[in-house]
Amino acid sequence: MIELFQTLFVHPLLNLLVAMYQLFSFLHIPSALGFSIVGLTVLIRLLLSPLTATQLKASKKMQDISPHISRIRDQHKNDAKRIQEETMRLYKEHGVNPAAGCLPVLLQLPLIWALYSVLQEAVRENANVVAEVNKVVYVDALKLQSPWNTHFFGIPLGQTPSHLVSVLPLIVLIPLITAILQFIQSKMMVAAKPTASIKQVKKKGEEKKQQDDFAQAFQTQSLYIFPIMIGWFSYTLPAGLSLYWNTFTLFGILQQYQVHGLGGLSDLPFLKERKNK
Amino acid sequence: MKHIAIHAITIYQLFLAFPLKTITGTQSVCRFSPTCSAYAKEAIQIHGAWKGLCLGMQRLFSCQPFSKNPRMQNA
Repeated sequence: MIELFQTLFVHPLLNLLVAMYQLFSFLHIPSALGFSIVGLTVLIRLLLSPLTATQLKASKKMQDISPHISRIRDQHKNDAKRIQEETMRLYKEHGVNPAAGCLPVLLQLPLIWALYSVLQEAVRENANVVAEVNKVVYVDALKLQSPWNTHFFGIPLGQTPSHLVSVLPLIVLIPLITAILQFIQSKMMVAAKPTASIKQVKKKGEEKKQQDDFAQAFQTQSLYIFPIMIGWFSYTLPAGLSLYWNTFTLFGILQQYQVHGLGGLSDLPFLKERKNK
Repeated sequence: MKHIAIHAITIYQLFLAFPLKTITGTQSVCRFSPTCSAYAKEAIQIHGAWKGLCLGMQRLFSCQPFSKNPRMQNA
């Protein structure tokens, strides 16, 4: 199983990374490995972008019609069939295409994971890196002659911020930036504050179980917990992986902005003022 | 077994669902109601761990373009 995953996902990605590295080295671009990481991440994101864009668009429409769906559910509480019919009609009216579903989206997870494992290997500072990479590359032209330089703007990509912090205190900016970017993306994805119509619906369903409330509250907290978690990972994992993750998130933010605008981010006080002006 | 399965799903809902949705960009796009995880929980309550999990998986796998029978009802 692991073998299969390696051959199907990890090795092709490693080859792409090495190819980019060789190209950048050939062009005498400094910190070639760092730029290869950025390049490969952007490439993967571009490949996935049609999928993500469809999903984001559907997500936007879903958010727009969610008050209506709650209303339908309230109206026909005991008639599952009716709920389904009405919901489908609503989808049709608003041009939501529920046919895509979530499974195609889940297919991108192995790719994201594979990229992670490739980079984890690539930035590790071990003496065998040349031999290990050369074993996997498809063509001789890609073979490494010497170990790659893992420095990127003076930061050794193979080391973790938690190690570097004693010699380079400013390195804490890396986990900090990672957490902030992650927060921005998560916040953008969550719907902007409920409008009046949703509030009304909420009042009607007040008899909901308390358990739901807890889960709901926790979900809201996830918005803050998740970025902190990612920030912590970024603190304890090699800096090269933060470079990957930040490129990945930044691309996500841009794509999200293209589809939704600021989304939930417009709830933030300083952005709200600007919106009202 | 039943309790383990239900707790596992709760843990997923609390800790994993949000990161997963953020990373893949599927926040609030679910076509089913209740969500698959809630549905699986309910199914496990009613039918026991094994059959409940099967029902849950069946529903998760019907969330793709080729599915003909979107199940919107409760377990």
